[in-house]
Amino acid sequence: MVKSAKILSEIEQNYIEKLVNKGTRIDERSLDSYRDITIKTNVIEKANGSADCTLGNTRVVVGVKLELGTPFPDMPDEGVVTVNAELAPIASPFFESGPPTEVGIELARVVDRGVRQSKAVDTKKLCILKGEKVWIAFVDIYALDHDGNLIDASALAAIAALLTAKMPKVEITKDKEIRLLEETTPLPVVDRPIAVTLAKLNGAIIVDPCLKEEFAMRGRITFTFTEEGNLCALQKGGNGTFLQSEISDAFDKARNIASQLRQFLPK
Amino acid sequence: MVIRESLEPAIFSIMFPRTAIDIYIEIVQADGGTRCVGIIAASLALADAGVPLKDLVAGCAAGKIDGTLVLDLNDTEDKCGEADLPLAFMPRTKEITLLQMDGSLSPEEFKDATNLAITGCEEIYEMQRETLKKKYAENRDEINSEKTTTKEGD
Repeated sequence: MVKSAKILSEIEQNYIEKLVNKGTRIDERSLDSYRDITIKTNVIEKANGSADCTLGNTRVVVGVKLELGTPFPDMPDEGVVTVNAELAPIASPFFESGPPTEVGIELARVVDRGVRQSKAVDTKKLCILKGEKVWIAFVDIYALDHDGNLIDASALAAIAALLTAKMPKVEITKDKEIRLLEETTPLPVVDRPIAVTLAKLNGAIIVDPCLKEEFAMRGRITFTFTEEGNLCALQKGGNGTFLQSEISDAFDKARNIASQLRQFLPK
Repeated sequence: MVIRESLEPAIFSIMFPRTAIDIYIEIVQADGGTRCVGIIAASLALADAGVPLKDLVAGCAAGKIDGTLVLDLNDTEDKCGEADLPLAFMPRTKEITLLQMDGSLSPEEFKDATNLAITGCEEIYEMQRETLKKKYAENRDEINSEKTTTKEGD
């Protein structure tokens, strides 16, 4: 099979760089504007929670599945939230089926860190029997269409899916058996973290890079902010470098954008 | 992967077409800061191997424990603290090549923490330079002493 090359032609690279220097982009956006965002929730009925997020042509579906399991020994009264990402070939000619690649692992880890460090899910409330039974929430990211910035789209979809997830009520019998009831209660989500990715392209900082810009960029940085406006996760990616002044500019920009993006989320 | 991305910007890879550089980092004992120490050692090893570098890469983490910003967390501090911010830095060009964070930091704390980590990196950078210089000084002394012994032998 012919593998599609992950490189841009020189002419396209130059074109993208020139546009950025003029303050515009290949899709005519300004340097700090996002592509159109849509979020639909409860798109997968069988899942406990789900969301379908589009960011321009990028599209991601996230499903939340709750399972009963045993807690970690060092946190006996806390449930577990874990994030996984699947980059299936349907999303992009660069993705192949098989074990997760570096891109997939990084995506899952950046989203996971955002959800975990913001303490978005009150894991204490996922505890059923201390030290024995807790809910484990599997947050599975499925990329359907990759046109750049999978991180932000996935982070939005993940928190939207968690916000709308329902947890079955349980009954504990005398002999410590757990019975699931028909009735459900919302998953205890207490924060709405937002990930904002910025790319460094020819010395300029742009937000929400599309696929071609991702090929043209040197470095990328993802900030995740909590509702309070505190930074809860950060990851620099790509083999570019940032000056300290660029980081602090990007930080301020990202913090502003995060509160705007939060409006797309369900309450 | 983050270590690769933090070292790659320092290497003049353009001088090595069709070449791969393999770097193996072995953590002998983990007590926090393994990522940064790995970077410090790897960049020194690259220099020792004679790979042309833009600069040595120094790494150091800043963090927050009980609301106080601290430098270089150990394992317990990392697990029980409120934030961990590893950073790698090339002091000559002032470029940041690795930056990660988890925990919770306000905008002011973030700025202070980055500054703190950079100060740490600069300190480590001096030690890295000294170590490299010392190696060549030792080589020089060895060669000089060999010269004198051969002379005496004559």
